Amino acid sequence: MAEAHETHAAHDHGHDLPFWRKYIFSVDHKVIGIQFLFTSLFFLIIGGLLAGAIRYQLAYPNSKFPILGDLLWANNAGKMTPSDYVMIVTMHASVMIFFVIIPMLTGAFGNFLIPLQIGYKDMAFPTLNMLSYWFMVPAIICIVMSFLSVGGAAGAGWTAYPPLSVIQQASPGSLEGQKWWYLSLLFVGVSSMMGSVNYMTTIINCRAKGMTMFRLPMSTWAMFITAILQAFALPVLTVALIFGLTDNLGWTSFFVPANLDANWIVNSHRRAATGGQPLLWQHLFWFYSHPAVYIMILPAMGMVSDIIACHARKALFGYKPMVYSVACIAGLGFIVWGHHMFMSGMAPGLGTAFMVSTIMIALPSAIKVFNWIFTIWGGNIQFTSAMLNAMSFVAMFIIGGLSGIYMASTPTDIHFHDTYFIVAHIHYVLFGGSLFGFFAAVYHWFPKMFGRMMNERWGKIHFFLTFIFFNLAFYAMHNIGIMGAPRRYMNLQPMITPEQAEVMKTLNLLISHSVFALMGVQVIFYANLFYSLFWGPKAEANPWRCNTLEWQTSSPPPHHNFVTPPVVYHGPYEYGHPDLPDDHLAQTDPREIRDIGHH
Amino acid sequence: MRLIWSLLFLTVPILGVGLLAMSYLTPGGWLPPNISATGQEIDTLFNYILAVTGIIFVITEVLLVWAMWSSRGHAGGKSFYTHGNTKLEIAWTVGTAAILLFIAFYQIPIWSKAKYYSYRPKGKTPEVLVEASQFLWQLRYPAWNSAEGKPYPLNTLSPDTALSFEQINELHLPAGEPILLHLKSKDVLHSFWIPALRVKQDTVPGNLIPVWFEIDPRQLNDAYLVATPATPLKVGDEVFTQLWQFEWTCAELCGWGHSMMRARLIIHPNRADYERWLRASSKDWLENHQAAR
Repeated sequence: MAEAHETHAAHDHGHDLPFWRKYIFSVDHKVIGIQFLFTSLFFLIIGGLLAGAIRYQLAYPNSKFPILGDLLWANNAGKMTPSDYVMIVTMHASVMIFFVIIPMLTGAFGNFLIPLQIGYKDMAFPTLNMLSYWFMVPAIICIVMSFLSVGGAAGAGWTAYPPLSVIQQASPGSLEGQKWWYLSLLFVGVSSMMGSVNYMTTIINCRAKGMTMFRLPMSTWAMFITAILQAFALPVLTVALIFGLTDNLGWTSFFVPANLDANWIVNSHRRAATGGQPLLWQHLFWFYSHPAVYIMILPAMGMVSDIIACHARKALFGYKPMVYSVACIAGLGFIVWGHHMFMSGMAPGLGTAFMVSTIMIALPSAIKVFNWIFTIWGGNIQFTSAMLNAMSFVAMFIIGGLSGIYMASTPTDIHFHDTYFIVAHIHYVLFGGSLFGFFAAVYHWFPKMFGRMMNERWGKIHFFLTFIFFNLAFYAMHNIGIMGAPRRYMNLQPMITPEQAEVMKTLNLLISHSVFALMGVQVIFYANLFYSLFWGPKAEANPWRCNTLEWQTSSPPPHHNFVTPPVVYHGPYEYGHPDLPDDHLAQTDPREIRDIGHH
Repeated sequence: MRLIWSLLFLTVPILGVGLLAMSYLTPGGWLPPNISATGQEIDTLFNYILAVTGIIFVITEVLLVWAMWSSRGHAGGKSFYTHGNTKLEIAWTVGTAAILLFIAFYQIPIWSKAKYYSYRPKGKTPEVLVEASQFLWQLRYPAWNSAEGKPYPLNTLSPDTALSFEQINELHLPAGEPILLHLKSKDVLHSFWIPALRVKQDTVPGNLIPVWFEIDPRQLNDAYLVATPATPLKVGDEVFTQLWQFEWTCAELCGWGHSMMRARLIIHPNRADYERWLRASSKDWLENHQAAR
């Protein structure tokens, strides 16, 4: 990377800065993006190890935990304790959602791509952008403190439903761990909010000459709409977190009803006020956290659209329907939160309304899937690691999307709510979707980020094995969900019938061992990434022959991205135009083409 | 390479359908047994959704593989140049919307029967008050009023401990008639889940939530018998020779003991048998209470 920086244009001021301003407290969006990338890659390991611990417990309940058992659970004969199990489940989800998926998509790629794709030198507010990363640091400290605190980490699930999360005596982790959890999420929220304001401002105001909104690549469109989602949903989460924190401290009782049995939970009546409502938290929490699942998938959808078009050498099929679908998902995303609460005691009539809106949100998702398939159709596919991961995103998102209908349908949700079926669904969306999208994005943009190529052969081996073990691990969760295996149980035996217990045992072993293999395979990805960072072959400016602006500057780009401000003449997807000698036309290429692609 | 990747993606629909079919054919590998009338409708809806989503799943995955397999570029290695097709967009938007709207509106009556208050069993007093707490189910039954030959009415808002008695983790109910229960929580959220009845409802501290269902005696299979003439259940002087048992559990994370919060549903063949049990179970307790008074 150091060598690449020496080749910067003469007027670039980047090299004048001391090391700590350039790489640590940097205001350069590219460096901030890379900081988010490595932070989320680190937490991916933590979250993955927590998943491994969960799966070991489920495959071998009541047996000694390997390696760490004697150290962690010495006075429980080396077996995982029930309270630690719920803490591990809580922290696996919290880490994966707030420290891996959101920072790796909006943080890493949102930061890196937006200014490059719109043809601007940086974000609109570079210092604010730097702060958005540095607000992650207290969040990280707080989440680590949660692990280390008295009573252990937060153990009320990543959804932190009160009263479990706010009555200190209800669970050991509600003593200190839960407070750190609230604080940590507050900081993550502030970080995301800073990012989101910046993304919106930058995309609206800083586009290059000729870059109209409908010439934006899908990645930037998706980041733009994600930023809007975050801006409107986050304040509600922030409010809920503050209410939860003060409830937990015993100062307030927003979520604690009156007349809790005082004998049952010592001291629960010692509060400044009483008479709260536990369902209020669920409404506030899901008003953010349902849009949050779109925050975790829309950026991946955008990036996958760009990657598929480029590596299939074909114009994106239905660009405008794709943009409208993303907008429609975001809009509907605000009126579906109640589908998490069908069984909560919310009015059943409200459940019907949320059911209809939830079923209808499948429509824009389906439109996107059809458009991706028709983008691939008739293309000239380059089977690169990026393309394979992007197509896998589509294949897995089909499963994740369709399995959602079972929970959206209120009557079948009576059975599937809080079973492994929902665990299968969320992993098909967040791993099969977001994480495959992330892998695709890393393979695709790594050359632009670091000026070096990743190893394609190992990339494909990584993809092949990840694809197989991912499906083996998560598909069978649908089956045990249908059988009625409840989620967040540390022991899925026994079940209603002896036959069920047998099938459950077999499938649990299959799932757990596939998860272990899936974790092992990721070593290939990490090794490839870190090896290529230092020793990968040098990348050209545009190794994939893409049209979008980030590829029309050097790899990595100079300090202010473009030597001269780019001018845009075309949309981002002019691949395979019959009049041109080449199969692509950069957005900055002034040649005119006949408009013959619309049917 | 194209062949390898196309085949790899083709394994998704094949193995997906295969694993579900295998599960369906394996004893115990599918939905839990169902013993309720509404549950039957829920299972039928599940099968419809499974059929619709299954067909769409196979078609879209095969289309994706076909697109992968066939996309080799046209003359000069170029792709087919198109930015989309408005008619096609309209067609799949309208088609998908029609299927989704059908699924949405088809299911509303089933949900109404299960949850809408207007469908509750009318003129019934709650059979049992279910009180959840970390980590057990307290089931409060009305005590037997021998003077009138029927149970005392159960006040679920503030139960009279003189006129009701409690059992832990064992829910007795009669088959063949609508049942109304009231749910409460003493501490945190729990969820009252009887898989065999397709009933699930969170219990919320501060709220009193009704649930209702009807156990269909025709669905009660000998495999679930827990008391038979050879192995009867004795309560006081009474002997019960035909009882079915189903496991149920808590479905909402309620703390470290969540996975231990399991309970049993004991089904009596009819109300007369159930009331015999109610009488026998409250007898000792009532005698003691009246002696104390």
